Amino acid sequence: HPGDTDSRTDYLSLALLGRELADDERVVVNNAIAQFHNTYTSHSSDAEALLVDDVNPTYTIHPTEKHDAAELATWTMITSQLMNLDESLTKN
Amino acid sequence: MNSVIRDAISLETRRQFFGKTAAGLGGAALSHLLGNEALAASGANGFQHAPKARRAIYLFMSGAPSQIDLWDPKPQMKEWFDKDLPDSIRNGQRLTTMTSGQTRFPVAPSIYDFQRHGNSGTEVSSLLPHMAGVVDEIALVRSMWTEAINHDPAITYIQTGNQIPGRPSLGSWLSYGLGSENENLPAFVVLNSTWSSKRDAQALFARLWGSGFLPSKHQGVALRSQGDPVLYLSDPKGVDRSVRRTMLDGLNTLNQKHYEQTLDPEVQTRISQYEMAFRMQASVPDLTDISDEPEHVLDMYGPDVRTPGTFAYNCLLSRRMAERGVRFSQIFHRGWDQHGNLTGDLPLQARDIDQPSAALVKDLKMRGMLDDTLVVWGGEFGRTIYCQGKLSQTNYGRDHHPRCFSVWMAGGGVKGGVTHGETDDFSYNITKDPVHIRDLNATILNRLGIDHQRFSVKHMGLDQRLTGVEEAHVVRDILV
Repeated sequence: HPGDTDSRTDYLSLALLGRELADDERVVVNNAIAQFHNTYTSHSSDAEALLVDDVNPTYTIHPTEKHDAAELATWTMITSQLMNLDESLTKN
Repeated sequence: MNSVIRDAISLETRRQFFGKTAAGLGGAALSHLLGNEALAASGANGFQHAPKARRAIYLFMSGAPSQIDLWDPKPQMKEWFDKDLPDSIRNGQRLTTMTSGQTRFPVAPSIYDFQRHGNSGTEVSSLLPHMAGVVDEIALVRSMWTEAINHDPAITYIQTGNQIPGRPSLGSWLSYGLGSENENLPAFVVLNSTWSSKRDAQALFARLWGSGFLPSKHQGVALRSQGDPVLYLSDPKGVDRSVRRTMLDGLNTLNQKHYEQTLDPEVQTRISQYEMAFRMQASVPDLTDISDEPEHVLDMYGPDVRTPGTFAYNCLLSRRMAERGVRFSQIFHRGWDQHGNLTGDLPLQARDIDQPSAALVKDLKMRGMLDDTLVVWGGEFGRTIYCQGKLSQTNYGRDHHPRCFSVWMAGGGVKGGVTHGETDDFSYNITKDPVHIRDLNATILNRLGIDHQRFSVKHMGLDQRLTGVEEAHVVRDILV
């Protein structure tokens, strides 16, 4: 769902950076999305493992019909990636 | 011009300097790629002069170990028991508020026996039987001195070159100048040790291994002494190495774009530290898994060696780090501040460090690594001959004393079996060959191939150096 991808990325970047991503940045993020999605589609047990919260099981994410484990795991990693940006972490 | 742009220009200039001048410290990178022998053969003078040591291990005794009871014998003091320290000796030395209120300053001779050891005949206290066995490997400096009389300024001074905090530590300077020989481990690692004396110990601060105004990637990386040496080292379930790599690749690309827009060197630090963390995920478990050590080696370090967080364990780890190309590892051992109950506490402290320190020297020598590994042992100042608090025949306390203390060095181009410097009968004043802590730092840099006068970074209008603006001299007499 390409439409979903852009709006999700915008949501993340606006929340974390207060801006939209530039075109060249979007390319990087889209590449990562594709790679994660490929990996987690072919390793579904890894995807499910990532969604489990060992410390607080009530926070474990459960796949649904609309959003399978691969999609949820992918966006977990993308969110982690953008939260780790220097720009997210360093607020001057 | 804003400071970020100025820094970027100086970084670019530094990059040029590294790239173009073989006489510059850029040769360190070359040495890393080619190895020291190839570097010498290529004729490139990578360092400011040929180094004797490729790496250093600093055993820092925080709290100020009593030189009178460990390294500097004063048998004449037995006749002075409970007699006041003469004014002519004290000669106006400022005292800390812990003893400045005392009406008397009675001499407290050491109750410990000193004997000569080794071929060199160096005298060592009975509290250090294992170190006594390696005196022929060490250069013992009895004439160290400093101006600082309190711990935080003094330890800041010896670690960073100034009593006022904010400057880079010795390890950060070495990381900046020489880099690491192992791209999978930091250049500068700090280990904090548990201690056995029964009193609270002086606090240590992360700024003691901080990078000051140098890029923050050069700060010391402190491994934890309890539990996992590095927190959150393992990836969560569902993230394997290749997923982690994918995440980091995208992150690095985006961060790199951010750097190009802001020219903020701290962004580069973040990129390199994330990369280092990735590599440490693989290298640290290997480093800390001591199950491959033979029994006879573990036995050398003493019974504490299997317990993570002890000084013995940390010494073993620093040898393993030396083998793995960590440029500078610094082990802190606290609890040496014997203001009271010295005869109760000092033996416990000595027991913590005596066998492992000697074992480290022997272990490095066995592996043929002592010649190019500099080992340093010491604290931030000495202790007073006069008693702090109640004096008895069996117990006493000692206050801080800056005018003389003892430090030893081994390996890395330092002579073994020698003593340097002398103090008066009271271990109060230096009578021969004073060595300021600046001089100690100049000597450490020298053994690693760095000229302390030329190794500087422009900051706040000064050519900042570890040894500061006042004169400092390499202690040539103890060099090989």
